[in-house]
Amino acid sequence: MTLSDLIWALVSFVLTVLVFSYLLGDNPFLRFASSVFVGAAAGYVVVVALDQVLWPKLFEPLIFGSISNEQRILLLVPLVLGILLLFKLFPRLTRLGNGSMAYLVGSGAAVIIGGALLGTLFPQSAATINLFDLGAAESRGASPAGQLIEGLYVLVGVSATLVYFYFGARGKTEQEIQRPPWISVVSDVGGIFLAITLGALFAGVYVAALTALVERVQFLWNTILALFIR
Amino acid sequence: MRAPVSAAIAIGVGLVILLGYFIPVPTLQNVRTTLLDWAVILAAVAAWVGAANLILVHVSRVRSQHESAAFSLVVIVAFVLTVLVGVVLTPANAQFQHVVTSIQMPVEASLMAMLAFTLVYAAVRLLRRRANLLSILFIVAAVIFLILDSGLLPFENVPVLVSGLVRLPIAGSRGILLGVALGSLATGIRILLGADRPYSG
Amino acid sequence: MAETVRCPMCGKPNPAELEVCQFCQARLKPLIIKQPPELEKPAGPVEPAGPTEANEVPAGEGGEGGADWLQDLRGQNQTPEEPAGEEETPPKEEGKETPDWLARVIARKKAELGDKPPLGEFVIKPPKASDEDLSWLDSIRGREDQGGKEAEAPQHEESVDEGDWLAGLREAEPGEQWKATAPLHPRWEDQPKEKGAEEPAEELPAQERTEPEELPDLSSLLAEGGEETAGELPSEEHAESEELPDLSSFLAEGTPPSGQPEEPAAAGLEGADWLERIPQPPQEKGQPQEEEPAHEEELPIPKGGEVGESSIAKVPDWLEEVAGLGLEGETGEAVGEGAPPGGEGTGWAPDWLASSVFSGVESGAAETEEEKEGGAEEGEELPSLEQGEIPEWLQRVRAQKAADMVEPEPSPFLEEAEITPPEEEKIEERAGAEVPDWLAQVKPAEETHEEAAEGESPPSEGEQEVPLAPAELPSWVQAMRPIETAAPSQPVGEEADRWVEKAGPLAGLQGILPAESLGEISKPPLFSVRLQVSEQQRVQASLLENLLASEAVPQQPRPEAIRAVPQRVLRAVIAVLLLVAVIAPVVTGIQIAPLPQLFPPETVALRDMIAALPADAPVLVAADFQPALAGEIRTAAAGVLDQLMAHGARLALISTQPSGSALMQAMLDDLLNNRPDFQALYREQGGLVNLGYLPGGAAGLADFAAFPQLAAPCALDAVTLCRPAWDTPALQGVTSLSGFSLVILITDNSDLGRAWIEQIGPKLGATPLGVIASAQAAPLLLPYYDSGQVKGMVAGINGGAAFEEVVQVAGAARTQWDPFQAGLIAAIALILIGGLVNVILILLAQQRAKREAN
Repeated sequence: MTLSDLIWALVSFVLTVLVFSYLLGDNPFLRFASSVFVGAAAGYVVVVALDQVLWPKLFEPLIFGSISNEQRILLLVPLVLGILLLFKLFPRLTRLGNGSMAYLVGSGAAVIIGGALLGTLFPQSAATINLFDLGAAESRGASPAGQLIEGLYVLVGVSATLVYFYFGARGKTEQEIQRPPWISVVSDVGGIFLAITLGALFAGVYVAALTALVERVQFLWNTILALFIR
Repeated sequence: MRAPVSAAIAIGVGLVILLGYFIPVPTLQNVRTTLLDWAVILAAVAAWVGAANLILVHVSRVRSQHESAAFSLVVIVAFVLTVLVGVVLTPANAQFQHVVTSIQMPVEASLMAMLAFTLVYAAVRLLRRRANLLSILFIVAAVIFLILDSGLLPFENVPVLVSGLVRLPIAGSRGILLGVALGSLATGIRILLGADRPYSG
Repeated sequence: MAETVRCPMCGKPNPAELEVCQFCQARLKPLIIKQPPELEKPAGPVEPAGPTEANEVPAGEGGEGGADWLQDLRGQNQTPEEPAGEEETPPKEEGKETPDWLARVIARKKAELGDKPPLGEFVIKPPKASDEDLSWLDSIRGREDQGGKEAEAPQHEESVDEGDWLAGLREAEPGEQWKATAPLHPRWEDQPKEKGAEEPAEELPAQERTEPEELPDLSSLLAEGGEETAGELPSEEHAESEELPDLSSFLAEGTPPSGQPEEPAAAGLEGADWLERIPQPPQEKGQPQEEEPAHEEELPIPKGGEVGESSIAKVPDWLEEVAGLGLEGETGEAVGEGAPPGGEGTGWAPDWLASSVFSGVESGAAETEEEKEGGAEEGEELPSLEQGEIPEWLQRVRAQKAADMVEPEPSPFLEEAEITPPEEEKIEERAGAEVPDWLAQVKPAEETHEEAAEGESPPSEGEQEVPLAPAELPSWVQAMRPIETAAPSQPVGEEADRWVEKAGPLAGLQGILPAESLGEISKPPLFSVRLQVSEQQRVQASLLENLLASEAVPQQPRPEAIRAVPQRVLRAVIAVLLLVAVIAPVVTGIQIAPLPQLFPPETVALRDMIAALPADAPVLVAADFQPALAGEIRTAAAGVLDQLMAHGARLALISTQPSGSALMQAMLDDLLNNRPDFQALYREQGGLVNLGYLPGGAAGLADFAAFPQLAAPCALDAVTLCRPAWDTPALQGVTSLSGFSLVILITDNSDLGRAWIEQIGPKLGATPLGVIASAQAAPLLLPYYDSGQVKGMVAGINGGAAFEEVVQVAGAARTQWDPFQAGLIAAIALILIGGLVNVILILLAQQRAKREAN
């Protein structure tokens, strides 16, 4: 272990202990560790954005890049948009950055639409339907009955879960706004599926957290061993 | 910039990119690629704006002698040092990468580890707060999946049961995914139609 | 008698030389209007003529009506006239003027009637030219100038002494008779005895004896509108306010003049026979009588004795009062309606009256255009009243007036309020009555007359039924009259548009500008005090009420047996248990549980994918995870990366997270440090390239998916800022995503994983996509494996352990498995125990609630 490694190890050890002090309640040590973390993370992002995006894709081509004039002119567009986006830092000039924000929002919205359609809606719907392909299941060696049950289960679960998130209702005069009765029944069934899924998610989150805990505990023990015992 | 101009930019760029998903025309694809590349550059600038805003907030706290001005000063110092070191060493430098591995990771991992205690505590008090069918079902499912993740029981003897139990969340998960996709679709369409303008103001 | 003059206003004696009363400043000596010599007539005493005297009022066109009231008056005055009546004979010789109309009346009476006028008929001795001292009339005129409104005062407050002069009129003018249309007011005749003001009244010269109320009228009559008068003669409608007590008594006492040429009643004169009999001045004989009254309150005589319609309205108050005593025409018209007698002369009137009244009238008439139109005033010979020569009757009248003013006794004449104008009366009905219009206008005071008088002759039924024609009151007088007294009398025809204020402080007055209608004072709209509450509001209100009521209900204290565990203690216990569970295996190194023996299919599939990679295959490794779960990711991905390296795959690292590439780089460095056999390939031969940070999220992925060389052109290099990445050995031959043999997505977030799958997946083509996910993202990424979009998956420490178990590689999962299991077991135990305790507590609470309810 080199000195740098030792130093960085100590830094990690200290920061870990400082964060674990939260078990005893909020204290300045935790806040100090958090402050260091925030500053370092922000700085790292700035450096990475400059080093890995802005310089090679914008500044270097404009200044030193051997690109054509047309490409150089085209690069002025993101340059201008980027400068306008910086005006978002100033409240009085924040309106100048609306165009750049609009560019980002528009491009993001289009990408999301394409991805949702082509990446989730169609494939997942197809997968739900394909569960009822008993022939394919049989070819895979699966039981058709089992496949059918599974298909029904998934179909009902997916439908009921989607209905659970439907909150459209008509408000009648002098009556509490309620969803239609059949939607309420299906929504209750969807709630059951969601409860199972959320339970699984809860378990997964706990497993992840526990793994982090185990990893931190091991780090601390190893560091202690390396620094003080060995 | 006026609202109609911003809306025009958002809608125009969005439509071109969206059409590139479905129309395999080389020209359109080239334009789409260029627009996306510009979006990447603007995203990097947006990361700069975020970081700069963070520092400006802490600077104002230091100037106003806020009660947490000392910690704000720590933030500023850490930021400045990180930027200076990063500009000098570059992100490819292993030493500079210790900023991530030795500062960010320990803190974040420790915070994540603290979440384990909170999750257990919340699970223990859940039935105390709300004892209904969904809560009970949630707790039961959580326990089952925790048990499945553990090696307490010889599940190898009951692979079907385990497979069946493991696939139980798929229905709900798929429903959630579809719901999220539909919501994203609706939101994107509203933005491209100009109904939503989160970029104004 | 000492030279004293009784004040007509206050009744107090004053020296004769005085012109105004020293007590009330009233004028003692009437103003003398110089009459032309030919018009002047000796102010002879206005002797109340008897009923058979020739001094009968010439019957006018309505002779019968005019005679009735005179007869009534005569009938009321059965008692002999007092000497005061004679005493009241105005010293006509003194030069006082008499009104023209009286003169004409007297003259007519004399001319027409030779018999004693019937009872109630008055005979007016026509005044002699220049014999009459009309100073009293001047005073009347003067007072009229001062306050013409006083004419509205009850004119009926005449003393009965007034009857003397009327009686004198009868005697003086036997030819003319006044026909009383109504019984004489009993009080009018008897008053002199009853009231102590007789003497003062008697002292007054006949010419001057007048009432304050009369004076204005008479003076105005004399002036015939020439002098300023405050108002006009009362109209025919206002009969109740216009009474001529003086004239009535005068007419009652006096004998109708006989032999006196009767002045023909003017057209339109109703019941003005006696007036018509008044001899006209020679010049004015035959001249049409005018209708234009000089003044409403003036007797319609002054035009030289001419009787005109205009003069009908100008009936002096005193004459009106006389008519109010019962001097009604045969048709019941007020005396006031009666026109003064024509300008035939004053033969019917007593000398004193003729001289005083008519001369005054003549003098006043000369000043007005109406007089000129009439043209008869100047021609009339009227006695003039000299100053100081007040007829006894007038004096008595004054005295009576004064007494009435001093002693507010009920007036013999009907008060204005008492007077109920005959509603059924119409002026038209009185047409034809032989009663002067001006007299016919005066409403008879029937009620009070009957009450006060004792020997009063009952009025004839016919006469009572026909009330006097209302006098023609001046507009200002009418306006002042209360509405309740004027209400019964409706304006006739020509006065139909007269506005009578019916509301406000000016109620009852006429002639005033109608107040602007303030709009109908309608009842304000009623607004319900009750709050309008809809059903929904009621429900919500009840809900709120219940909420508030529940707040007031004291909560039952929790039983001490069951206490809620402090949160801090519970949290501490949980923390301690978990830490112990985790630290113990770490520190002790004990093994709690074996590695899993059941391998998820997705884990096996990933193993198969990697196993199927050709050697030196380019593999894209997307490291989209946070530093927080770097430990878990390292545990899960260690086996996979080892396998990839074992297969000699060229690795290209990229991340959409700023710290992702650094974390991945560090992970690989640690791995290579543990596998020196891999170091040569990946550190020296360039089998590893780090594409760095890809910003933009989904947009960046879309850009990378479309044109990866443009999206990530540079590789992280410590030496150069931008080393072309796609020229490195690791990415040699790769131009697109499909050029990779395998794409491994390492993520701890389901959203990032979904974005990668959505954006990159369609562009991969045949390139498989494998996912190394955190345990928290695995449930939501599993459907993508189920749908075939993800070919293989390793989820969390369990997946990593299973993968290591499958590939038989000892990785980080084994070292963390025991503490992980211990922590997992501890969590399971805590959750189960906590849930069980909660269930027990709930059941106990329910049982307690049941017990308490029972």
